[in-house]
Amino acid sequence: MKIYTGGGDRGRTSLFSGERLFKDDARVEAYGDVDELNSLLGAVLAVLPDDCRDKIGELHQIQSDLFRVGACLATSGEDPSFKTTRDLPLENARFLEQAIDRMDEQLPRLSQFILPGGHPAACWSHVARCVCRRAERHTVRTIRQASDDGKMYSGTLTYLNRLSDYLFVLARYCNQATRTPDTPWESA
Amino acid sequence: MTSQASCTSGNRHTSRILHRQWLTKDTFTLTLERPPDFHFQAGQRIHLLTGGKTRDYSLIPGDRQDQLTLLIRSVADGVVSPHLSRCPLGTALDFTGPSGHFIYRPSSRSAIWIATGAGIAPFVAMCRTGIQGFVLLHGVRHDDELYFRDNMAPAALRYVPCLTGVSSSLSPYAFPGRVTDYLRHHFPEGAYDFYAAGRREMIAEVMDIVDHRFPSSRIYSEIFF
Ligand SMILES: Cc1cc2nc3c(=O)[nH]c(=O)nc-3n(C[C@H](O)[C@H](O)[C@H](O)COP(=O)(O)OP(=O)(O)OC[C@H]3O[C@@H](n4cnc5c(N)ncnc54)[C@H](O)[C@@H]3O)c2cc1C
Repeated sequence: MKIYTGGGDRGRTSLFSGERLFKDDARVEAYGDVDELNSLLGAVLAVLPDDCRDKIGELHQIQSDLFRVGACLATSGEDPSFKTTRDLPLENARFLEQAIDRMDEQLPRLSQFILPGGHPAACWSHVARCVCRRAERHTVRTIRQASDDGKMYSGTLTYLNRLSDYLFVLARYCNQATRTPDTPWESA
Repeated sequence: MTSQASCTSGNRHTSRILHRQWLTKDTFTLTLERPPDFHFQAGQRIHLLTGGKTRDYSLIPGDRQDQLTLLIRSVADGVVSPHLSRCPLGTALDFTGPSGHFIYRPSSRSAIWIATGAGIAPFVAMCRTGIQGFVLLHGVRHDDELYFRDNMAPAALRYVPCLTGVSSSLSPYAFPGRVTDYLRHHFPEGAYDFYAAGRREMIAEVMDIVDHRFPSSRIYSEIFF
């Protein structure tokens, strides 16, 4: 089965809900960012140190949540036919909060800003965090441009906001597990 | 949107071929047993696994509750469709599914269904759920390929056969040309819900026409090949 339609060759694309949009529309940017973020989590997984294997299941769960976020963003209005195009429930963000708390308990308190870097898994995690923030910004823009849609994305927004925190903590967790020291920011 | 999230797949099933009916020299319906636990939404398809190959086919509810129907064009240089056209009745077929999101979504806009050839299959399934009042453009070469016309025409607000074969101009009720010609030159401007199934080139062209002539419309598509 061919995956290309040719319907996007002139700069537009179709949403699940059928509308045709230009590919620079905030909504398309938003679900594109989510797709990029999901791929970056694949990169994190590919280089995850052995001592962080307990994170594999969590990361897979997040990847499948992001599929759902992408489908939801690619649908304007609620499509009653598909569970996947509905907003994420708040429990998914709670799952992240609990995971953050579990990692945080094992990490030294931060008293300074740290430079993004360290173990490859930490580096990819930082890149993913930045893309997650971008996905969040584009989601906000999508909501502001389609005022009636705002109510639909409260779970998604909470999730993306929490996920960037998760990715920050995950980067530190990977560095600690591999005894890679964090590099503090020297302001002067 | 190109997304893996658009695919869902169900369990694996096995079903026997009960009946084959030729509609034209290369197109037939295949009636299969419907597994007892098998449910689908009109417009969805199955993923058939046979001889190490996999191919998708849109589902049509059978005339009986315990049957499923496929509308298949046997492609001359193809692998699976010629096999399905020849294998004996009673042959067991494995498939997964149902899958796909090409289903009817009721809305305040008029539904315009566009099919080429066997692309009519998902629309036949939708029509069998009782949907009426759609406009149907069915593109084929000759009028004997207007499969399920007797079911579709009475339910449609307008049924427009678009015939591209040489003899097509002899059919007074048909549009002599491609579905995309009809859409581009003869369809009133407005906001519609377009549903298109069939050849990839047709669907890409429909999308282009929709972008330019019907910009506030929606479009849902199912590419067959
Ligand atoms: C979502 C989906 C739903 C589908 N539903 C149906 C259906 O309901 N009925 C149906 O007949 N087919 C349907 N198809 C097409 C089907 O899956 C096979 O591709 C088709 O039967 C040809 O398979 P094959 O192995 O015989 O030929 P292949 O060896 O796969 O292909 C040989 C050549 O034939 C071309 N071809 C494929 N299909 C056609 C066609 N219909 N007319 C002309 N050329 C073609 C191919 O592009 C290729 O060049 C569907 C495909 C998809 C992706």
